[in-house]
Amino acid sequence: MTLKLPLKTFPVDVPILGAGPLVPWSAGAVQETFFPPHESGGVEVVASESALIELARRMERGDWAAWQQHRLALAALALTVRPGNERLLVEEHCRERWRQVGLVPYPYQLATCRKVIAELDGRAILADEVGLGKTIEAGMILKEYMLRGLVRRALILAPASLTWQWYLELKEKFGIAAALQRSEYDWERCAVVVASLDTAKRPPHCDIIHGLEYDLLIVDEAHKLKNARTANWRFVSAIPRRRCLLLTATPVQNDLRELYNLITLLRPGTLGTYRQFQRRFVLDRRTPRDTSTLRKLLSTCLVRNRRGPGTIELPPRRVHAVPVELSSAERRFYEAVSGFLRDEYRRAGATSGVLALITLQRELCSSVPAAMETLAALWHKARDGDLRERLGRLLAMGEQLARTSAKADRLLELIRSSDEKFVVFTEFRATQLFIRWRLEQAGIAALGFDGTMSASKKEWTRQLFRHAAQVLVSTEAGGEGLNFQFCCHVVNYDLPWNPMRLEQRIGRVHRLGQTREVHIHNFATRDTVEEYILYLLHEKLNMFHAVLGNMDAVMARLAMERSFEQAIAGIVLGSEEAGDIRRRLDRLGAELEAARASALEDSLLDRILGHPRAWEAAR
Amino acid sequence: MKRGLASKVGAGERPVAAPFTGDPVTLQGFTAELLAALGARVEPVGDDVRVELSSAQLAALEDLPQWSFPPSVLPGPDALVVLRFTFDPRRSGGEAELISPGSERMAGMIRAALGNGRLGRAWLRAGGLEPERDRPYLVFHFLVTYVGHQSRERVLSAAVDLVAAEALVLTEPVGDPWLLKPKGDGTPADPPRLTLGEAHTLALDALGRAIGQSDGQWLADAREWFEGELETLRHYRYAAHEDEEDDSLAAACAVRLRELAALARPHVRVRAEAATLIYMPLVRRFVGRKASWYNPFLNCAVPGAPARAGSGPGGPRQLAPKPSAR
Repeated sequence: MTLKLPLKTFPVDVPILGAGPLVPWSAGAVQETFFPPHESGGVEVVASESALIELARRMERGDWAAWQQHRLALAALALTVRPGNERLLVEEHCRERWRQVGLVPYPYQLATCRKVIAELDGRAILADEVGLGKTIEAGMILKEYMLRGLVRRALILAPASLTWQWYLELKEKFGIAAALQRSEYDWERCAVVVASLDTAKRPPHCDIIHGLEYDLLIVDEAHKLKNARTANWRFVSAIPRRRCLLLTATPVQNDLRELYNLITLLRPGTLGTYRQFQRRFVLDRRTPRDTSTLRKLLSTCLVRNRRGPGTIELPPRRVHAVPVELSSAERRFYEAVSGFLRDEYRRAGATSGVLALITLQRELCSSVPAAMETLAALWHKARDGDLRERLGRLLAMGEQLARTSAKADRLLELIRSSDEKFVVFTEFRATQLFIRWRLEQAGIAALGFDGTMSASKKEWTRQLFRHAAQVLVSTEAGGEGLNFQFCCHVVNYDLPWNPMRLEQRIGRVHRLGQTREVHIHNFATRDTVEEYILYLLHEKLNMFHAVLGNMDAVMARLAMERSFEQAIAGIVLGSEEAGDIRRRLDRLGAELEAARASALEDSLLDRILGHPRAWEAAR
Repeated sequence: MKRGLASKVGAGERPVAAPFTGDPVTLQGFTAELLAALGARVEPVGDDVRVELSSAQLAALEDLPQWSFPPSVLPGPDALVVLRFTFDPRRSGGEAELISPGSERMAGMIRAALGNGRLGRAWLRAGGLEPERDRPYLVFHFLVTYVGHQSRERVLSAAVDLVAAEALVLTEPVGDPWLLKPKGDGTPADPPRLTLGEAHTLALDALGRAIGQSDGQWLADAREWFEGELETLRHYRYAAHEDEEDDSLAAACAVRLRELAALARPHVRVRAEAATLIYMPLVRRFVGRKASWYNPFLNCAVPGAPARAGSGPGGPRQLAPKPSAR
């Protein structure tokens, strides 16, 4: 089909719809179409049909501009030309915005952006160590491509808990109005979409995504794509895209095949088939060979920055132990419930009922209202008359303590002593509600944050906290994926029994963008399990001072039959006396220490890349 | 020095040359001229520029259809924009918008300028030269994107002789002693014989040839890289079959092939962003008794005009398109 426009100057014979679009820019309002490739002088020339039609239409209308306007148009055309890759537009473009949000890009981040665009053609694994700002690097790359007109449709896949953070970072730091995916219509409707990988891979979403073409695909926490046989890998590998960034601090952890699968997802063939890869580069699954060749190949698609001079130097952490003395009534309640727990633990052994006991032990350390919930649930379930009676007595004791708490009093004291903002973390919703109630009674503006809140409500609350409240009381699930660099006081009202969760808590505040010293207040009730936990986390593991990150890698190296929490519960509930508990916790701490040393010293990726050992730097 | 759009150049900003006219262009100079052309009130305030815009001017600048919003949504007649051209880390941004390559405001101004002046026409003249005829050329101004291993952009202008159906890429802008006159002087002009489509095809031919000559090294490098990538992929696919590699890897291969075809296949993507209809002067030269037409601007002989070339007195006026209503 052709469009014939009778023109006064030239008869126009412009073929329309003759060739399908080579580059379907469907994200824009108007889809640009191109003529079939034209060969001339040994060069393939692909001309825009849309642009010529625009000229033809204007000629038809006799739309000849005054010379001054035409000169301006030619000047505008000169300004349209984007400079070469050696100059980053994002740096100029976002300077004012970065100043407003307090972001100072590190030279290594700009260098990574430059390298990915100029040398790696927008196809890379960003494997910086935890906390070095992979999200910022990816945001810079996305923005740079957008400024150059090379990316119009982009997809960002992240764990559900991080999608909101991505949305915010893109908006605040780069002025990118991404859409948080909510319905199946968003995939096509929005140019830049942030979505959860788990949602995206499910029908009908996956079919829609596979039918679109993305200029840039970003996958955060890409270690979830290490196995080529998983639905995640298959889904991502089939997404049509032109450029791709995979973000993970640990592209290889326990098996070189993980690295192979990620590289193959990014650039198939780079490492050959798996058999070829094995023959050339694998001695055993954790020992590479011919690392110099492997390193050369990896340099074509992997960028890794490590902590050290020239990278991020976070402000120091100050750790404050806040000992709490239980009142005599609270002490009686604690001892009574602890006795009940020990008896039941011995009776239950390794049955499923032990989990409820572990939870109760943790709740007991947190607050009376938290313990009361589980006690009430056990009472309802109990069939044994003696057990029911004993639980009833415990419940009656607890009810007397519903409104008092030495720990909450201590928290009030701490908050009143300062005008600073505090993020108070607890593991339990009942404790969260209790703390908020106590703070409100004392006239302190406090907000709540928990996992049941929608993303927008969380952001609203975060902004309220930033501008209008002194305290935010958050459960761990609530705090996931949101950062509070504007605050520098973290209160661990109760201590998680898992070091990974502790790291996540502190990481909400002590991270890139934090400019002030961070104070960590650890509440620990004297002569309770909390003292042991604090001893393990603080004294044995130095968890509060070391900015190590990568605790998941550490935990993966810890060969345990049960979870970390269960191991602690086994020690606390299964030991006869305090000395025994401490000895067994020491042993556990030593195991964890060794695993951490191994994770740092023995990073498989860094051995391949020939990076220096990180242990000293991390310390 | 060429008078251009850099008269209000910001300190340290290196001007770029506009295609064809060769006007030196800076962000600040371009902005000032565009705002003046729009009729906005512009006032320098320190290093910033304070601009008062009517709602119509703002709509033109931001590419908003005025009628799509109720009047209360559009800013009133005193819409104020403060523009800044140099980033100073010690100064707070305040209300000022930093104008930089790629910024929304800059993109809007470029869009507005191109939208208003995409098509232009002029007569080429030089002092002391008295042309006997004018030859119409259509100069396409292409934004050329080099797609391949090392992507980049440039603007190239290709002039097509609308009578003789010959095209060439202009390597130099119009400079001394040549002047571009917005109005003709009554010199008779040859009538164009080509359609716009034919002229465009000829321009693409010329463009391809010129790029092949001037950027041969880029082409060779991009092809080598592309072939290397394809070769890796071919080897991998063959070996994957031999090694009974997982099926999912074949899908990854297919995706990669598509990516390579779209991104790494060395080619140039061109957009005819603007066009100038230019009347170039011709003079007659005699070699012995034989006369031939000569184009002094392009410094070349041109094939003769057809027998009934618009030699009548009203020729060029008939051929020249009517100026737009604007």
